[in-house]
Amino acid sequence: MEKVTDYKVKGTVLYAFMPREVDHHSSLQMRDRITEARVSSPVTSLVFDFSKTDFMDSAGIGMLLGRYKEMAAIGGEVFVRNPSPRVKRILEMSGIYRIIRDWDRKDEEGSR
Amino acid sequence: METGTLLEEKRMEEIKSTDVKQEQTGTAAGCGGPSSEESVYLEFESRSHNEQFARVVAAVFAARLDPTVEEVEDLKTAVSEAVTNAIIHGYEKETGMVHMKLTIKGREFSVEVRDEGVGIADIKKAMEPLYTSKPSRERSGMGFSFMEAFMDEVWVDSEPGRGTVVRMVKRLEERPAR
Repeated sequence: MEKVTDYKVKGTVLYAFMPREVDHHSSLQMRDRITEARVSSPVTSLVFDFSKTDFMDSAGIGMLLGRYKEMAAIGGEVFVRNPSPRVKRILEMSGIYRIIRDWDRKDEEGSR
Repeated sequence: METGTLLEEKRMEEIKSTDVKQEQTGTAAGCGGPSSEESVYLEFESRSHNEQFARVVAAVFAARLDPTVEEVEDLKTAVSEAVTNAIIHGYEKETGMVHMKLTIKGREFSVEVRDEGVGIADIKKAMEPLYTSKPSRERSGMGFSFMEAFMDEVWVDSEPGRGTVVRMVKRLEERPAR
């Protein structure tokens, strides 16, 4: 079975590498992995990397909202990186760009 | 020509005509014209990893219509939403059967997802954008909105204690004949 998600911590930034398909099933697993990563590191920025993702439904949006609430509670921020046109469309339709934004080069440099 | 080849060809013809009889109604066998209609049924347990399975089945069946990449993605998303609802809301913690029927009629692709779960008392409320009956479960409340955005028509029928049926139709773009 495909490994659902992987993550990397760099400084105070947690990069969550999203699976190929983000649905209710994989979202539950991702949520647990992210929680696990945050327990062991003091994270202030959470970056969802969608490089591998070609499918996402509303369950993925629910998972992002859940992580946003957790990060907002500690004054942290949530970003998305490399969404495919399809994933971008889903993100835009959901309106989630009002609370999370694209991770760009400037953020990358600032995190070093 | 060798006898073996001929036999194989004859066998292939038989197989083809059997398929056609089973799957098509309302049109001359083998024509597959625009009025042809065919369906497949799938029944599966309400386990979350079956969400992917249901999407893949819908995508493979829809491939017969030579859809665009975007149309396939739209169908997959809508199927995923309906099936996830059946699994999470219809059956909650128990495992039940989810029934999916896919029908192709001309360029129309119909999906019916049915469960025999708890049902929905207030369908109008359930379909409101951002409404969720399970805020603690990290549901976005966007499932029905996504179904409506990606399909041309969505109907919901439900009875508390009996179950829910979601029917959706998408009319695919005409494709130039090859």
